[in-house]
Amino acid sequence: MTDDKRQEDFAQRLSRIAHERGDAVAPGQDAPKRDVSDFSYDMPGESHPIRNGIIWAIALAVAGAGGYYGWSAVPQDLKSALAALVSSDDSIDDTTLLPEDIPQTDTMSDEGPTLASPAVVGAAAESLSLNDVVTQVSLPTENTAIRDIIPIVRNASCELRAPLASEKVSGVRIENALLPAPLSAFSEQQLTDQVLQNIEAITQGDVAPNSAMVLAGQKTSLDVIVTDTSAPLYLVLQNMGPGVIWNLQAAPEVEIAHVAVIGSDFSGVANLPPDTTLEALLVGDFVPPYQYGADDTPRACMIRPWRNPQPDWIGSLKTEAGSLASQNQMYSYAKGYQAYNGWFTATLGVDAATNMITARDAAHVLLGPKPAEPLSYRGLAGQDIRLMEADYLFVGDAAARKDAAAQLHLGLMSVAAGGDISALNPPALERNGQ
Amino acid sequence: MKRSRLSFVVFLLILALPVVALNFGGSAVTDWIADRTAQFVPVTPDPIQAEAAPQDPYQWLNDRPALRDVFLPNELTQARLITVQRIVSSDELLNDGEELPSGPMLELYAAARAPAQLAPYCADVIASIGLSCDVIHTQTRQDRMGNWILDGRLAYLPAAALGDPSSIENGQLLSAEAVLPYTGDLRPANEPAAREAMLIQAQEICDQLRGQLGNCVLSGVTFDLQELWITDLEVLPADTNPERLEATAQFTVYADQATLDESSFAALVAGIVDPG
Repeated sequence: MTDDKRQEDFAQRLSRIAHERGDAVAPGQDAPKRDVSDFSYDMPGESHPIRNGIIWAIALAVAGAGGYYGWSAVPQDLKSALAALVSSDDSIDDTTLLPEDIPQTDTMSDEGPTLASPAVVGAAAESLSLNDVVTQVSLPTENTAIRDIIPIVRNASCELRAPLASEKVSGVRIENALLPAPLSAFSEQQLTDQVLQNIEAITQGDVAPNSAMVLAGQKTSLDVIVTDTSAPLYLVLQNMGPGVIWNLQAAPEVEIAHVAVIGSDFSGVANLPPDTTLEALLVGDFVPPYQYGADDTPRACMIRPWRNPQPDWIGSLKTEAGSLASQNQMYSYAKGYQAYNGWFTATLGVDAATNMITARDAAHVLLGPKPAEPLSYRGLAGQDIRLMEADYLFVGDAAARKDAAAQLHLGLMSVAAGGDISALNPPALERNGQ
Repeated sequence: MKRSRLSFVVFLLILALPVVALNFGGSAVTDWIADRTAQFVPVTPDPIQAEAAPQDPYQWLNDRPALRDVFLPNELTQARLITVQRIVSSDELLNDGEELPSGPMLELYAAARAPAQLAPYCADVIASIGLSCDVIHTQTRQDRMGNWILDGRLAYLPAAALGDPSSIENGQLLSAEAVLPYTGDLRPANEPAAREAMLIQAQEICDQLRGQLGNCVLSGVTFDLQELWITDLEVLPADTNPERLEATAQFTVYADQATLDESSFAALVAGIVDPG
């Protein structure tokens, strides 16, 4: 049945025609008219679930696509402002953020902790400050006067003395030390590479010689405060960045039997106890300069000291959030660490993570428990520094060291150009000899 | 029923139109809106500037960065280059009395002395097509024989008139390259006279193009050095003139885009270079 008025009219016409022909009127034809209208809301409607479903699906798809592209078009700063409106600062869940929205902090970088002085990196969970472990602190500067440089003859092979059964292997593995050191050093190869780069900048880029072209060779330093008295220690001090002077600060009862330095640049040791033996490995003597993927495969003498990525690294969080760049970086760290650990374990008989303090950047490291009483700080001033042998070594005032390095570079550039540095960029030739 | 479906589709299209327009052509749409709604700010002439501003004869070119480097006649630019190559032994890099340095230092010597080694090629340019010439880029590498291959780029100021691109309406920059033809069985020897002749040959082609189109710049000549070898492993004896030259010239014009395009310009150049 329907309340459509047009059908009602049509039925009346049929009834009238039948009446004029003398036909019997069908029962119900004389029934009183119902109230009808062209549009009624209380009529039972037909159900069209498939059609309606398609309509809703299309409408939602259009709205969803529009919303997606619209959100993508919103500038990042506006997105951040909108996100801040709907979330409180304390409840940010890193796993729900876009990779680029996960910021590095003052103390945590993509590649791990970065702890500037006076923070002390240790094995304990509690945060320590330098004053908690040492007193009478006199941090080094670029101009600190040292006594003498004692060269370390680097190991000719990638072997180290095997730890004795009574010795405990322990150590530090970082990328960069955050304290300055009053010396500069570099190799002949580093110098020629830098001068070649400078020459090409002039002959290809029309750049005038300038101070930025000088290889500084500036070294850094880091305090290693040792309080572990549980056994004679076999310290392995490792870094991947610029050369580090490892400044040892051993507590009175501590016995450091042996120190092995593994560095990507010319590194050394200060305040070495008298009876402690010392070895040094320069990464470049055994491993070519790093290229992506080159350290992925374990091999003999793979001594580049990679650190194993940890879940709290910002790079790991970005990887979880879907960043391909961070994924590649963390993969590189993990594979490099596996390869390095293969060499480390074979050489020293323990896993590379054993008793090891790691950070990307650090100024002070504590090996052992927090001392009951702070130790007396031993700075670099007036101390001998044992340093891997380098072709060029500069000590003394920082400005004088820079000048000496600059003169060395300019001199070599001039010799290479045949005695006259202006030959690198000869003047234009003019017609008529002008 | 059909009408209602049609209405619904139209409704969806109207709904989707701004979404698509803003997301796929957002900057164009917003720029258009900003342009339409921008407030008109009348520009009042600065009387001091109006009096003091001298006439720059190259203002028309300076206002058109794409044309400037090609047509500016008084400045050495990257848009007019002669590319040269020289092969020298390690001994030839040394000054009189100098001793051969060790390996890494020898690389420094080659890199540092390449500009001076290639500067004489500017003499060829000055003697033929240029008023001024400067070695602006050099690069070195060692070949399998231990010799040093010195590659250089020379920027030059053309001696010939370049024509007046400002007279061209609706113009576009067109460039075409052609290997310069040579006579005889062998390519020309790598000698100053041959190089000068090739540069003049290229300039003459450019002159013909200027005659037809109103302007032309010889924007590049590349000298490819080819050594003659007895076999792949055996070089010809010394002093038998083993180095031969192949020159490729590049011509650039500013032409009415209604009458000339890349392919027709390339055909025009090819026809002039090789009329046969």
